[in-house]
Parts: sequence; C-alpha cells; structure tokens
Amino acid sequence: MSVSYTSILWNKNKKQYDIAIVILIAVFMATFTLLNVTLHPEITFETNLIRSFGWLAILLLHVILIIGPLARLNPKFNIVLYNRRHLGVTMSLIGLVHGAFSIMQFHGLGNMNAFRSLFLSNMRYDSLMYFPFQTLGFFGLIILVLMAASSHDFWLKNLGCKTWKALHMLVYVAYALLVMHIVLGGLQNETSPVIFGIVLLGFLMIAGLHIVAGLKEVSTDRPVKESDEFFIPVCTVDEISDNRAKIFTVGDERVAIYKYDGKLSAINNVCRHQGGPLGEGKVIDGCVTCPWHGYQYLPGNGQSPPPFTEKVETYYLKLEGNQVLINPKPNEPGTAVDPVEYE
Amino acid sequence: MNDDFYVGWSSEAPKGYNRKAMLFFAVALLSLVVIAIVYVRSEKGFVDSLYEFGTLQEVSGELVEHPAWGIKTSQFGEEKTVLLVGFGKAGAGETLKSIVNKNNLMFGQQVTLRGQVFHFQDKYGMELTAMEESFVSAENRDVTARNIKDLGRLTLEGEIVDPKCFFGVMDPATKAVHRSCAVRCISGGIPPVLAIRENGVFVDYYILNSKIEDLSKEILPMVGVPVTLSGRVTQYDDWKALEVSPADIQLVAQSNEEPGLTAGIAMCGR
Repeated sequence: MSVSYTSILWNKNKKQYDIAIVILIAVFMATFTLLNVTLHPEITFETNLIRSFGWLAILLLHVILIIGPLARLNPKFNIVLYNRRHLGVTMSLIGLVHGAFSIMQFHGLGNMNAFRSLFLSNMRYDSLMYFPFQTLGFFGLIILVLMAASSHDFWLKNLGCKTWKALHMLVYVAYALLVMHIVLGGLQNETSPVIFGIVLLGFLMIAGLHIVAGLKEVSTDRPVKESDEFFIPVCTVDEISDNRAKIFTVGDERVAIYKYDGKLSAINNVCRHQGGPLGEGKVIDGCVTCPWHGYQYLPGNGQSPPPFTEKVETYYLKLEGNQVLINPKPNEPGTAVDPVEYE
Repeated sequence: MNDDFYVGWSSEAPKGYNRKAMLFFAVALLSLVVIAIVYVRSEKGFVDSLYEFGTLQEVSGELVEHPAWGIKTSQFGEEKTVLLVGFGKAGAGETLKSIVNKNNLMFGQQVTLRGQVFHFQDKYGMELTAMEESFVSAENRDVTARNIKDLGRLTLEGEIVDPKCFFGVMDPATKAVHRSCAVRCISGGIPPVLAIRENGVFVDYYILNSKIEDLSKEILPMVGVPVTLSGRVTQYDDWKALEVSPADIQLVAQSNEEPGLTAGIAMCGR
C-alpha cells in the first residue's frame, strides 16, 4: 500500500519477478528465432518478427490468465498474482509490436489509410474461412492496451473499483478475440494439426483451471439460511482459526467473520482495492490484510488505518454459547462495531 | 515475518511462497521453450523467394508495356521480363509515364532503371523505389522482336496474388493472412497475377489483363481465394497473360485439403 502514487514501488520480490519475465521473453525469442533461421533459412525478417512477437504475446496471455485460478486453488500462488500487472503490461507491449508491424506490413504504404484498410480491404465478413481476422486481433489488442494503460492504482482510484474491474474483466473478451484471430488467420496458412493442438490445449487449460477454481469456491461457500430472526446462526467459534476468517454468503453479500485476540468481527469480504477476497487474508498487526495486494482494514470498523481511506461494510455479531450469530443487515462502510469477545 | 501468509508489498516472502514462484516461472519457461520448438518444427516452411531490401540495383533492357510494365533483359541469365512496380503498394504506371514523358522515351527503347529487385523461381521484378529518380539512362538501339503468341482460350484454377509480395517481399504472400495486403497492392495498380499450384507447389503464373477500364477494382473480392478463370491466353516472351472479364471469374468450392491448393489446368479448347 502507498499513500501517494508512485509508478512502481520496487522491492526485492518485484525485481526478481521482472528478471523472471525478461528471462522468459529472451529465452523464447532466442529459441523461436534461432530455430526458425536454422530449420527455415528462407524465412524473412518480417515474418519471423510478426510470428515470434505474436506467439510470445498470446503465450504470455495464457500465463497471465492461469495465475488467477491458480491463486484461488493454492494461496501460495498469490506471490505471482501480486506482480501480475508487470506481466500484463509487458505482454500488451509485445502484442503492440506484433500489431503495429503487421498493420505496417500488410496495410501500410497503400492507396488507403492503413487503419481504414484494416477494415475495408477484406470485406468477407460473411465467411469463416476468409474472415478479415486482423480486425479481431485489432480489437483484442485495443482491450489489452487499455488494460495496460489503466493498470496503475491511479486509474483504479479514479475510475472506481467496479468500473476498473469491469474494464479488466474484458481480458476474457480479448482472449476470445485473439484465439479467433489465430484460428481464422495464422492457422489458415499453418495447417499442421500440432499447431492447432497447441491453441486448443491452451484454451482447455485456461477454461479447465477457471472451472476447477470456480467449483472450489462454490464448494467452500457457506450460504446462511434466510430467517426472519434479527440474528442468524452461522458457525461455532471453533470453526474459525486464530487470525483468520470464514466466509459466509449473507443475503447477496459475502461476509468474512474474523477471529483474533479473543474477539470476533465481521466485515464485507470484498477488498475495495481490486475486489480481493478479504476472508482469505490474515490479521497482521491488528489489521485484516488482503491476500491479493496487502491492503489492510481494521476489523472493528472496516476502515483502512490512517492515512488510508478505504472502507468496507461492517456487521453486528453476537454469541450464544459457542454459536456465532450475524445480523444480515450491513452497516455503512466504516461503521464502528464493538467486537464480540469469547472465552 | 508471517511464515504462512504473503503480504504483497512486503520485500520478504515466506520460503514456501518463493518456491511456488520459482516453480511457476520454471514451468512457464519450459512450456514456452517447448511450444517454440514444437511450433517452428511444425511450420510448413517458406518458399525460396528473395527481396533485395535496401540494395538498389541497376537493370538495363528493353522497356515493354505489355502484358505489364517491365524491362526485357538478359541480366539475370536467360532473357526475361522483369516486372516493374511502384514504391510501396503501388503500380509502376504513374512513375513510368512520368519517366517516359520527361525523357522522351518510347516502348522498345533500351533503358537503365534503378530499384530493389525481387525474384522467385525464374520470375523477376523490380520496385522503382526512388520513383522518378529511378531512371538512370536511355539509349537508342534496334528494337528486338517480341515473341507474342495466342495460346487460345483456357480455363484455369488458382489464386489471384499481387506479384510484388508473392515473388519476394512477403512469404507467405497468399491466402487468408495475405489477402488484405494483396487487395491493397492490386488496387494500388500492381498487376494481378493468377498463381497456379500443383500438389502444393507453384508451377505457373498468368498476368491478368482485361479490356475493361479498371480490372483490379472488379476482381478485388476474388483476391486471395481459390478461383476459376476463363479467358484468352497470350504469350509475351516469358510471361503469359490471361484476358478476363470479371464475369468469367468464379470462386472454387473449398477443397478438403487446403484453401487455394486445388490446382490443375483444364484446357477448354484453343
């Protein structure tokens, strides 16, 4: 967390992360290019450039898209989720090289503006086989570039969490567009089933991991039975680990009930930073700490400690013996609620 | 430090988390390398075309207008007609008309032009990169007779390509990937060429001609897809030209093999 906006808050982990990204890129480009020059000496510089950057971008997009579900399945992968922004910006820049060079190569120096040519040169929008696939790549790339440009917390703060999140969920639209861009474009020339298999395998891996992570989330979801009672029973004290939380669905909201220092507090589960699951976090130095980016909230009032200003809704709890009960009506974000003490 | 929880902004991470990060990047690196190897090994390869990018070469020979602007020369082995194209995705027409007018040239006259040469198999072309500055010199010599023969009416199956990209600048310069580029080149005045394949190998080429004012505009929807064309074929030295009207161009039903690979020359009578 940072009070002021800094382009990058460097630390040891971030530097190691970025070194790993550079190694990924360098090794891939070297392997791809050297092998192409060796096995296909007739390949032109332009073709190798367009193909290598295009494939690197789509492969890095796969790497990015599996981080989310992996972190849901195993919290230890949060360490690669934390710096995913760097990977995303790098991937979009690589995609931009592929896109810019392709537009220059295929549409530049003609009798029509290159961008108009992109949409008007091939008008077979009615055909799958001859579809102007470059337009799909163009729109996919626009989404990725917008995401990269708005990836900094400055934009998150100014756009608002919901708008920002909605924009960044478009990554799945971009992925779909780019897969179709490959299938209707590159795979029309390179017809090897092996290459088609790579694309299919990538899609299955991403879809499979998201489904498995989603199923896990559904299975751990603890919907609270609706009741006319003011307080509804949710669990026993023993079911919650020290300094950790359990997540319950109360009404339409997810609520995290935290157990710490002999007390219980309930706050909304959604972090105001990027929507991370606060209930999967931990109480550190007296603050609920989000597992995604380390944003912190005081469990008693749902407020980030000063000078930070983020707030989440709080809930009233009570104890009947060992049984924890919750009032399903949320308090305004940042409302102080006395924690419930247990023996 | 927490040994079971990673705080993103903290400079230290628990050992278990660091191991997961290393595992993640190691698997990602291995996957990228394997995919690069598998992909490149699965590429079907590239034709041996060449575009001498950045090298301006002088070509001397007889200036011809039919079946397309060119220089008939023996500079590259056997006598052949080097197709002339303009800078970028443009035909050579405007540039050559200007050169011809400015220097009082005539067709059949010996000229020397400078540009970037491209070639594939025995077909050569040259981009007049410097446009009007591409003209080097001209001299008066006896005009040699051209070998022009009527080969009769043929029906051919192939793909309409732009010769500049096809014979050198880009590889591959056919089918879906190249379609938009070919459309730009042909609409820019580069003469369309019908490329014929047999068993996946290019074997024959026909420059498309027409009596209609703007053939390129009419045939643009047919560029880069398998087509069947009928028309009268004329041999101009080492090039063949097919006289077509758009009505004689039909799309070929998609074969089960590969788009554009259906080849074969069906002679419908001479």
